Amino acid sequence: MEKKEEVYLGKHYRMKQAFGQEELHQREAVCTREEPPGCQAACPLHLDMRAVCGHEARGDFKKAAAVIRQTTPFLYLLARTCSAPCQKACTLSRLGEGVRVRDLELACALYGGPAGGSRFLIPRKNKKVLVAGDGIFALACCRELGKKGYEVHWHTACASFQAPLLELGLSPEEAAADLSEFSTLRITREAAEKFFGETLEDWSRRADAFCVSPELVFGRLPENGFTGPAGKETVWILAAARYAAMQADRYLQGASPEGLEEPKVYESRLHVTLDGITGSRAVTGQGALTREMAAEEAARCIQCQCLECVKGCVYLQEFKRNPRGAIREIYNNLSIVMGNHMANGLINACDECGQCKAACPEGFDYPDVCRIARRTMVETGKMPPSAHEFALLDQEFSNGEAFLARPQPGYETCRYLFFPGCQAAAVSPRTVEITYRRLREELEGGTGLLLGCCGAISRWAAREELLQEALEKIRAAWESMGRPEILCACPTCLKNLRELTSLPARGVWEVLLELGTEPVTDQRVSIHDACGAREDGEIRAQIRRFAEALGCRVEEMPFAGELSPCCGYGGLVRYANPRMAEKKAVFASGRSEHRILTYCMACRDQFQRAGKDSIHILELACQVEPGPVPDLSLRRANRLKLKEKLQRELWKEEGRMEEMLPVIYMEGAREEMDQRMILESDVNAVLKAYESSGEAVEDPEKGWLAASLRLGNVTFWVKFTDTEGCYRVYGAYSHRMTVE
Amino acid sequence: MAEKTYYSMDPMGKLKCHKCKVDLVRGRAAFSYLGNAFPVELPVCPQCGYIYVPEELALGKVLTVERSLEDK
Repeated sequence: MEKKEEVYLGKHYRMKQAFGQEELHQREAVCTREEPPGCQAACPLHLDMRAVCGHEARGDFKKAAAVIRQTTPFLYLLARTCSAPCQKACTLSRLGEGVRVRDLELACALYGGPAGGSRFLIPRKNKKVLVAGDGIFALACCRELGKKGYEVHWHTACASFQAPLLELGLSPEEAAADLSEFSTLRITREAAEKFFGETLEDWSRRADAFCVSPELVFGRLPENGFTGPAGKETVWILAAARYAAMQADRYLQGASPEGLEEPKVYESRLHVTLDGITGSRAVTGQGALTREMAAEEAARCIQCQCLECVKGCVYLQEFKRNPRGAIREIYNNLSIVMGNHMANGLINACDECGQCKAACPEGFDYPDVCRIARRTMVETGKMPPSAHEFALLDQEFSNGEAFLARPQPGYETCRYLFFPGCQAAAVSPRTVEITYRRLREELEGGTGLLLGCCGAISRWAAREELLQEALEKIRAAWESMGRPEILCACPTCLKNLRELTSLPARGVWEVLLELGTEPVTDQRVSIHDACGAREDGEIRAQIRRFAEALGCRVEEMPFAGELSPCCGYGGLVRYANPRMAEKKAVFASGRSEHRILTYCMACRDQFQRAGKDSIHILELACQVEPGPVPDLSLRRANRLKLKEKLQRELWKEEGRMEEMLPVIYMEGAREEMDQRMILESDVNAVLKAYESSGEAVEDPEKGWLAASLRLGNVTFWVKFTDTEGCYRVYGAYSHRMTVE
Repeated sequence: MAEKTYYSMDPMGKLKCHKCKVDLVRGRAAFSYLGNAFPVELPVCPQCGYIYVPEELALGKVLTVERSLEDK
């Protein structure tokens, strides 16, 4: 990566470019979506037949004709004589019959109306150009130069402008139609016999520049003389004429001919998504196609495009973005010094799951740009504070109050260390408890326990110092237990430990499989692959073996394996953009009619929220049926209770739970608090503050009190009554602004 | 000239300070966020100065302004 540029502007604004423009261009170039389709690349004139088909399919022949006329006015000529290399390159020709382009060109000519001529007056150029030759090369040169405003003199043996076209078999009406634009241009035909015996040098002297048919060029052309490569096919000749005219124009304008290339065709890099597309036969008829038939034939065009990254990603679909366009938006977003950062929402709604990268035939790395963007935003203080704060506080909680690291009772050091991860303990503590008991009982050499967070939250939030803190905590526990092998229950924890540390770690499912597993079900299930295992086919295979050993009949669903969509938890989207997370969960869980088996507790929880029957593979192994979805407060309480229970039962330690005031939550209050990311512990703190200060507002109309407390960066308000030694809470809300 | 006020709410005698047992009155206050401050008029206790931020305000205008300031 290029060196980052850091700029301090005045006192208040600090800007840091994530990467330079050169790197932006390199990254953009990886994506092929802006590449022309196969037909356009195979055409020497590079006519945009995809657009022509699009317009014709809608019955808009005028627009279709205009697309071709942007490049050449010779519609009938192309329809009658073009060898149609585009048709051979048509993607459909690989599946059946390519789109009959010449028929569609004829339809443009027949139904597209007359050439409109330029809407703007062509500015006259005070230069004279001479064109010599008798074929369509010369005719096309005249048109190109006439269009550019030059005074054109055509030296030719042809008896009329139409002659070259008539010679190629066009009817006089067709030839007239192709040349209709000529009357608006300054082109004069001059009989060649007048100039019999003139040399290239004579032409060079008599005009400011001249273009000459390749067959008339013998020897070296003077500085102001231009031609194109000789060709036999119409479309190559038209392309050569265009090339000659452009050289002349550059010369006359005093511009460098650099970058001007001889006509060429190439193979398109564009990857074409062919899902559900089958081959078909062309629409044919007697003579020219009718409007309807032409529209039908044009509608066979599949409008070649690459949708590999978009088709499985709800986020890209919802934002109506493609990664290529989005990285430019993000780049611009980071470059803003003053003004609104419009792409913050885009950056924070990506789950960074890597599905799009895995799906891209070129490996376009969009999540990497989101990661860089988030890091830059954090470094420059531009990350919206509300986006990830709740999640980061949750990591602090996991590695603070809820943290536990102990060797197996009776051991000072252990051979293994069970690390279930924060979500398993929050969502299904019983599963953690049973799994740990089994590991203790069946593994030799002792198995320690580590309850905490791997730092994934801070990694997603781009908070490097908090990530290092979390990893250090794990490292210290690992060291104190005699450097055991870490058995992770979460693929994201495993991924992070493998990518960011050198600690030995593997999946607990692998160990359980080795210990032996009895079938517990004969249910049909579909496995949802976690983003943590996207780059690890071995984990995905182990999970399938484990599932089969448990008796599951696995039926794969669309987007399985490395193309798996995110459940909505990844990238902290659940906190930064809850609605997006919900939509992702609905899509990801809607891929199968069977029960979904997950191996990440966050996925399991997200699917259950979306109303889908799902179970974590460890829950299945432990025979724990998933309970109701725990709200944010219960997720914390579950972790604390598990810690306290294990401490008491295994290590005979007395845990200390925070004392909670007696509170009854009125109907709907807890759900509302969950949506607003307000915890029971927040309510408890507000009520305790009220107890000590007595400060509150009475609303006699509604009959409740409202008290508040600033906790960290948020002010919490609780609406309650205080009767009969018990608080009844009607609701809570918060704001980040301070008020004084 | 009176100072510009971004929001004004009069408790109209409908709210009481629980501690001082007096009616809240319309009083001066200021919301601040990310280095920006906005003078407002909110229900305030005339004795202890306790300021009330009603739910509709916190989840309405205050939230909108918070969001837009975060994207500045």
